[in-house]
Amino acid sequence: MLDEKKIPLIQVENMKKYYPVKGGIITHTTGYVKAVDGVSFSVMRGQTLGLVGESGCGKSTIGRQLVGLEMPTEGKIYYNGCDLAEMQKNKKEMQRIRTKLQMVFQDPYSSLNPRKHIYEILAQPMLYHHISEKSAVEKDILKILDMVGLPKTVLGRYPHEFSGGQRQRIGIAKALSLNPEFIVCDEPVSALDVSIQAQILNLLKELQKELGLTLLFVGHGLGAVNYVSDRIAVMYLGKIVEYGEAKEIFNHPVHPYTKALLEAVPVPDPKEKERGRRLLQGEIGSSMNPPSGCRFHPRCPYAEEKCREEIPTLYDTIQTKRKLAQTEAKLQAAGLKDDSCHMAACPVVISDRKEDDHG
Amino acid sequence: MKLNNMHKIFRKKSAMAVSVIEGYDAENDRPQKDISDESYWQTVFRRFKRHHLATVSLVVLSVIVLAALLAPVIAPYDPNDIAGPFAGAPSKDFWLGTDQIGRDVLSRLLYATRISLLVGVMATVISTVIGVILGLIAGYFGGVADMIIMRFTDMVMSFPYILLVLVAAAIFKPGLWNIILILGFVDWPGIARLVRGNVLNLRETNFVKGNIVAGMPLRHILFSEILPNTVAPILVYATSVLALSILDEAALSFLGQGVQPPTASLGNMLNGAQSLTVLTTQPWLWIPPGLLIVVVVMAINFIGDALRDALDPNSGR
Repeated sequence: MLDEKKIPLIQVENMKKYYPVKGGIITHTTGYVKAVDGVSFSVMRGQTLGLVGESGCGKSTIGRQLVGLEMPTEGKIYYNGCDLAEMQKNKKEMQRIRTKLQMVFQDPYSSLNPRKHIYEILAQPMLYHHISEKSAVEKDILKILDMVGLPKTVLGRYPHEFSGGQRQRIGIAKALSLNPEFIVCDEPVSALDVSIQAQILNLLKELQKELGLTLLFVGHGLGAVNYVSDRIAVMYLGKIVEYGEAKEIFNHPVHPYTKALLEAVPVPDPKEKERGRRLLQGEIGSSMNPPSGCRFHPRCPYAEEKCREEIPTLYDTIQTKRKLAQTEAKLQAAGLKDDSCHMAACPVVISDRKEDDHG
Repeated sequence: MKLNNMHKIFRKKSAMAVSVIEGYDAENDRPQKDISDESYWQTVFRRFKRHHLATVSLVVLSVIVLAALLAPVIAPYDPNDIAGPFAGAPSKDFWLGTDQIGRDVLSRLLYATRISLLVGVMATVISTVIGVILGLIAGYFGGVADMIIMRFTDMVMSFPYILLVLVAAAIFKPGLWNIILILGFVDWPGIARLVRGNVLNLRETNFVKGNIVAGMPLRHILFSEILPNTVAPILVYATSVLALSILDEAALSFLGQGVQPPTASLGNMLNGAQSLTVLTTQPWLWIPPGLLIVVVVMAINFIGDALRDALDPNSGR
């Protein structure tokens, strides 16, 4: 509601991405994989939105649409208030914003050209976009390498001479080298060692603070996502099921799927075993033929009859809290800010909650 | 209390660990040595040397190529001059004897190797260029372009090869450059398919996508990112095309549709040795060119095999 005060850097409205499935004797489209099916969110300047969900829920697809690698089937993406699809038609305009939207890839082993040394990998885009001139490019590269914590000796080396963590640093350096405003981090740590994951996450956090970057952090572990994100969107089968402040989602999850995700986070405590965690049963549904109604209902422990029929929309869950709090001081006491938001797409749980609130 | 302290120490250490880059030799300011820093081609050469047969082949082929290149210098006679007796057996003056009209076989052999290698190399270059361009377009752009190019490739491939070459040779006058062009325009489908397959893979890799996101122009992505990564398989395939073109030239010339006399090529030297009398009583006319074809083709194939292993990034060190 209060989002209107500022223009979000990235705004996505009802984005859909369907991939055609070809088949049959005479090749024709037999169906669509609905990778992303009607998703809306916005990312404020300087903030991080975490995107979590199981493999195949469409979170990486969203990342690819945002940097313009693919065009959404339906819906709009606004960058700084301008329609991305409109801008893509205008070549000059596109060149200008092209460098502003960058991406850090999941697999650091395939994100660097094995035939080029680091200097070439970093210098070529900078020179092409006139971000740096020939005489100054080495200095500029060293500055960026310093930012990501790499020494100047890496310049003449080839990607295969580096470890996964180092390569990911180079990948981040490559994204940073073009002075971006918005970076999509597509599971940047899931291919790395746990100890190195922390380093990369810290690096991303620091860089964001220093450079005022806006990030979309895609991940499938709530722990890592919660660590770097201001807001989190939880996805299931191409839809956002819960969206809000990271703290809120972590501490007061509403949607049963979010709860299940949180319960799946391993706790390093041997006694934990006795508590008996409820783990999610079954498989994620088919995105070609998603379940009717709420897409989570076949696996949901709270599922009711109406879940099978009605497609739930996102409800504001802290509205009642806000009403009850009335004054700002009380709101803060509840751990909420003025523009906090927390929405979930599960009417069953929310109605239960309302009764709790009143009672 | 003690536990609390330990916890603090541990935290300090882990904070320090964050500042140190993993796998990094801080003393010498360079990455740790367990990852080798030899260049790509050094690695390739080291692996290549492990194939002894290929190493020998490389030496043999080098000698043959050198001899062919230096033919004007080292050939004892003019290859087209009648220098000695008709169909004379090998002797002190004519090491490999003379042919039916008295030309020195050794001199002709040197010049013939020149022609055969020229045909082989030029045909390979032409077919590689065509194959690479079509493969790149088909693989990268996909869709209709891919469909048209690949169906055309299938068509060329499914044509009886030698017949096509013979018909082409009959339509265009047989001659050195025509043979090169004909062979070049017939050998490309294999390379086009190979390149297309590789490009299809590379197009989906993160480093290509990263460069699209970085807004790099198409020519950079095609020729600077994708092409260098397909050089290895192209090189391997090109060796087999080279061997094939040399054989095809020999076959065509043997059938009289190739390089025309008096210019000597390995094939038309054999052409002159078709009769039974020559085969039975004058082996010096057909054994040397025949043997040379076998040796050259085998050497090229061995080198290709070794290259395949040496260039394979997935093979062991």
